Amino acid sequence: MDKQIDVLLVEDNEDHIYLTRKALSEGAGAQMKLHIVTDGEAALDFMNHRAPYEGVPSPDLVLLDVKLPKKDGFEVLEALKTDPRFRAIPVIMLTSSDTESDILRGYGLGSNAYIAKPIAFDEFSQKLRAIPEFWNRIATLPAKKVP
Amino acid sequence: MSERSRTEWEGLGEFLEKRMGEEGRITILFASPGTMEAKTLFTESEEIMSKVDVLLVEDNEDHIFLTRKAMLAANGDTFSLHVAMDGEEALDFVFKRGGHSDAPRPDLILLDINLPKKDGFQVLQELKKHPDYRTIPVTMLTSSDAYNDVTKCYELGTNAYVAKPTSFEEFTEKLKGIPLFWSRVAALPPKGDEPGKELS
Repeated sequence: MDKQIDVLLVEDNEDHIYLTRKALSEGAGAQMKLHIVTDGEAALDFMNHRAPYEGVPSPDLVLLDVKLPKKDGFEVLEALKTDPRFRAIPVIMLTSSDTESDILRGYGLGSNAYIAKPIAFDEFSQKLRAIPEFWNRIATLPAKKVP
Repeated sequence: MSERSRTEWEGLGEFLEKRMGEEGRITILFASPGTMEAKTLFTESEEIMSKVDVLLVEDNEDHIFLTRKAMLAANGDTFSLHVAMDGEEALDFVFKRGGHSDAPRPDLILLDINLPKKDGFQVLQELKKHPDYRTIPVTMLTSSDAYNDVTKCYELGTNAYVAKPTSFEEFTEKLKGIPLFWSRVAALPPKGDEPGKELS
């Protein structure tokens, strides 16, 4: 159970990156190694090991913001969930929008979970800590594909 | 709804606990004398918190019992557990067919793999192909932790996969975590019930 879990965080907000990094450095998150890209195109480059991401691991879990430069989170989600190589990798939308239409759109495109970012920092940290708690301790992640 | 609940409250027995819920809501649990089941609750505004309808698809009676117990322990007040004991019944429930015309749209589905009539893979596939019902989060809840089964379920579109622990204690612990994650951490899709309306 000591195996490392590679998490790809797609997020352009520095404060949110900081909080996520902190939440994933303790408890059930301690086994998670965080990889960060800050726009949607870079996320797909990372997934496809395109330059400058040659040799990066395939993520076991993707945390995906919706509002992103270049390609937004829904476009990235759709690209991942329609690609047989990536479809099985759980994607968690992590976004400031809690409108019903965005939630439905996320689940409809195949997001594994949709988490609305609370405005208060404490609550946000609490929700972030719940991610490794559920996805590492309770759920079983799919087996890593050997490239 | 609020009126009816108030009456129930006045007629009920022992006060169990009062606690602050999310968003400043106050939840009060009551139990009738002699039972441990939470009966009703109030929120600060005296509105009833909307129940999360969970559909459990499971044919093992012990596991149904344990799941029900874990749900109550997790937050028994806000979950309403519906049970389907085979794959066909599960789909009838979701699609409101064959005696299930009054069934609520589940907010969350817990799905076993080994099931009579239609197995969990088939049920999952039918749900995730459906333009409306595919948005309902499905958590596989199964005794198998074979890598093939895990990956197959994620490929078919399950939202999460949870392997049932063999010990009683771990089972309860793990099961408590499932509804808690989906109701408190994740945002569940809205209850809307017109087929196809969300995927325009």
